[in-house]
Amino acid sequence: MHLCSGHVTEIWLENGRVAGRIACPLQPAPGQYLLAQPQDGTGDALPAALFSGGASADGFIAAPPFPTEWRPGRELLLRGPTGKGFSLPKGVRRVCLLALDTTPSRLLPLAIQAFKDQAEAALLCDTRSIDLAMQRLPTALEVDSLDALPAILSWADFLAIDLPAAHLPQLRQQLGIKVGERLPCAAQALVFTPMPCAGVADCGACAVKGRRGWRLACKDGPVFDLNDLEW
Amino acid sequence: MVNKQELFLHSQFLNAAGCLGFAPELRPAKRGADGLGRLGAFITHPISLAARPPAESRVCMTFNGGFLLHTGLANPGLKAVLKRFAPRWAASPMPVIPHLIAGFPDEIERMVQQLEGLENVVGVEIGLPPRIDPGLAAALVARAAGELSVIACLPFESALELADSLQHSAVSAVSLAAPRGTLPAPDGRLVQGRLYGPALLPAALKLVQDVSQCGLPVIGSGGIYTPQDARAMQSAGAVAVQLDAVLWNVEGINILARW
Repeated sequence: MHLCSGHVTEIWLENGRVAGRIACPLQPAPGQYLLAQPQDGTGDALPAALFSGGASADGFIAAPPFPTEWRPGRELLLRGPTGKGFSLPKGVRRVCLLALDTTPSRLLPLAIQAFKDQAEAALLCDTRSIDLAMQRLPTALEVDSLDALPAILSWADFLAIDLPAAHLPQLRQQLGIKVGERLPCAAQALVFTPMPCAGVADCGACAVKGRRGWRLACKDGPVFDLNDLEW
Repeated sequence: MVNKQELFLHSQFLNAAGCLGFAPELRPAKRGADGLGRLGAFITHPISLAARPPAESRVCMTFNGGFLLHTGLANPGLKAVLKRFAPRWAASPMPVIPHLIAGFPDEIERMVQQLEGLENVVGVEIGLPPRIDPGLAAALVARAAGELSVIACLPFESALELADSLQHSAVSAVSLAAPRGTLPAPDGRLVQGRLYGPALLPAALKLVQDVSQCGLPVIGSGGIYTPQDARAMQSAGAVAVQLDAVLWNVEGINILARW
């Protein structure tokens, strides 16, 4: 894990939520995060967890949520990359990216990775959550609404989900998978939840129910193999 | 006769319970960045006799100058903690003070018995819950008394009253738990939790001033984010300070290397 300086170069709105571009030498892999706070010590009492929404020439695009008071030029101190991110299994050919009740932004770097691996990818999300974000969607990415989920699930050989932790109890119903039934393909989920201590303290705020006891999103995740979670 | 053990600290800086986990991180620090080495003692994450799951309604919400946190103080229970972390406590470069939570004096006694004699464990900090009856607080402290120093971690809201009632007990020092507060959640529900952040400093300083008048050594905490804040705590009467959420900044514990 590394510590570095950086700064905000640009901010914009994605469907009403702030995103930004950070110039820095660190780049979180898909699903990993960097901790960031202003160098001058002002701002929130907790650092922000920044997830990559894509690469940029001098750093990365920070997906929403992004601190609303940070403006271009703001000098930052950053640490990371932290946590367990997505890992595309070898030989995967058809990747379904599923953003449930959240921005699809954190899944976009995985689409890029899939294309590099010669795989196809489809993004399913609330289509209202795509406006400016669409401009940086790879042209090869098929985008559809959540209504297409059953068809895409039967097509995909890998499923990557981004969802708030509070959404986990509804996931089974959303995927149309009954209790005891297995998913038709391997699946990983980015469980989005506040991670105040970022793994320093085992504070438990980001605890997620796993099949073998509680897991912490900040250090065991935030990306989990879906088979390891209670859902 | 009260069996009061002296509490010796390597420096005036401690971490608050729940802010650095169950045991110190023993990886060698980079040159000039050894903040951990500046801790006078390591206070563990709260430990109960039996395992405690995370709270069903876990919350972390920010407000201007701080944040509210409710976790349920999840921990695997003393037996599991000892199995996993006692070797790291023994190898720790600074003394270790387990923070214990219990509702009954019997529980405290059983826990302290398991801790006495462990290498590098010099005391226990007993977390007293909000609205605790002073009689029960005194009983918890009395049953903890033995070979180890006892720090009573007082609820912010009734610290003055409890400190007064513990003056002639086995307590070596008192510390202050983070205050509780309430915030509206985005869905309009009111949520409760402990409060952290620089906005708490003025109230914490006032409380340290008041509690230190009771005659017990006070370990100050609440809103300490800079070396100046720590010095102000000592000016207010604190013999040492506990750092909480400042340790969750980007630099982590290494921020202490510059203090």
